[in-house]
Amino acid sequence: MNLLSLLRLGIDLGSFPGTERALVDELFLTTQPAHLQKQISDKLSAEERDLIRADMVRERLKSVSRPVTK
Amino acid sequence: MADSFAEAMDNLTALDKQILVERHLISREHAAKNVGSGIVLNREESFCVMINEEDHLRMQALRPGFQIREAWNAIDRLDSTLEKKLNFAFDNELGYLTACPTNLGTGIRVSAMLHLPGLVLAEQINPIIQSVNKLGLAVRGLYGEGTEALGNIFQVSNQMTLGESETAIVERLEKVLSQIIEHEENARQTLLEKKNEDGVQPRRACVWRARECAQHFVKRDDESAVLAATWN
Repeated sequence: MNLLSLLRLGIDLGSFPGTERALVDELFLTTQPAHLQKQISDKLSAEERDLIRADMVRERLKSVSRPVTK
Repeated sequence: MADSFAEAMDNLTALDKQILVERHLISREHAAKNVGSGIVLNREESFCVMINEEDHLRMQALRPGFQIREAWNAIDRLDSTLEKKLNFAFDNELGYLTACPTNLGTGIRVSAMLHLPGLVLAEQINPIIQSVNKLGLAVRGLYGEGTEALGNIFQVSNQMTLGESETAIVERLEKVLSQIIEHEENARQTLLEKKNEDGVQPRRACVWRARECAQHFVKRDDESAVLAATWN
């Protein structure tokens, strides 16, 4: 969540043109433990949840390009 | 509350309840309830009524952005509609009689979630919290009382429910929130202008590092280390 917070700050500061703040807001919600668990039928350990969270974040952020430098 | 559903808490799984907590629709205390308690929730998740939480009814209106007035108007309408059908415990001198005396009077809790990374990174958040506390407002973490401010998200809400009208409480919170937002904007501006010894703007290093790390690992201990490393 702290990393998502920094990314949201970067979006607010205009470092990621074309990236919507809503993308990060959605990840704030959907990367929480119960939300992750709901997507998978098997009961997840904390470590498994971390891996699924990483996959989800990597997938959702793959279109975000390097921050612009002015 | 058109397009709503009602459910008894004992019909919800522990996972469903936790999802409702994570979405800030019910309290952690309500998630622990079973027989005799329930929720009414609309599809948009803009209204949620907890039945037999601490009080018989705890009604919430949630709105995105800076829409405190709109949320207040919505909950006032819902409250007035229910009051035509229900007898609320009310005393002419004390106001609404709630289970806990800290909610006595208006029974209203006006709360805003604020993302304040600028104030945290500039190490100005603690004095701000202290000032806000002195104005009779509480500052809490992401999931309310006793929780940490994960993701630099803070909840600001009124502490007193007695001795002020609902609209006065709403107006006071609006005023304080506007000031906090102004401080956050100033802190961000200062961070933008600040350069580290190598001449690299820390915000660019930071946000890019955040993106890279979010893609490659997820351990919380590592998050803290990166946060410290990129801004020191």
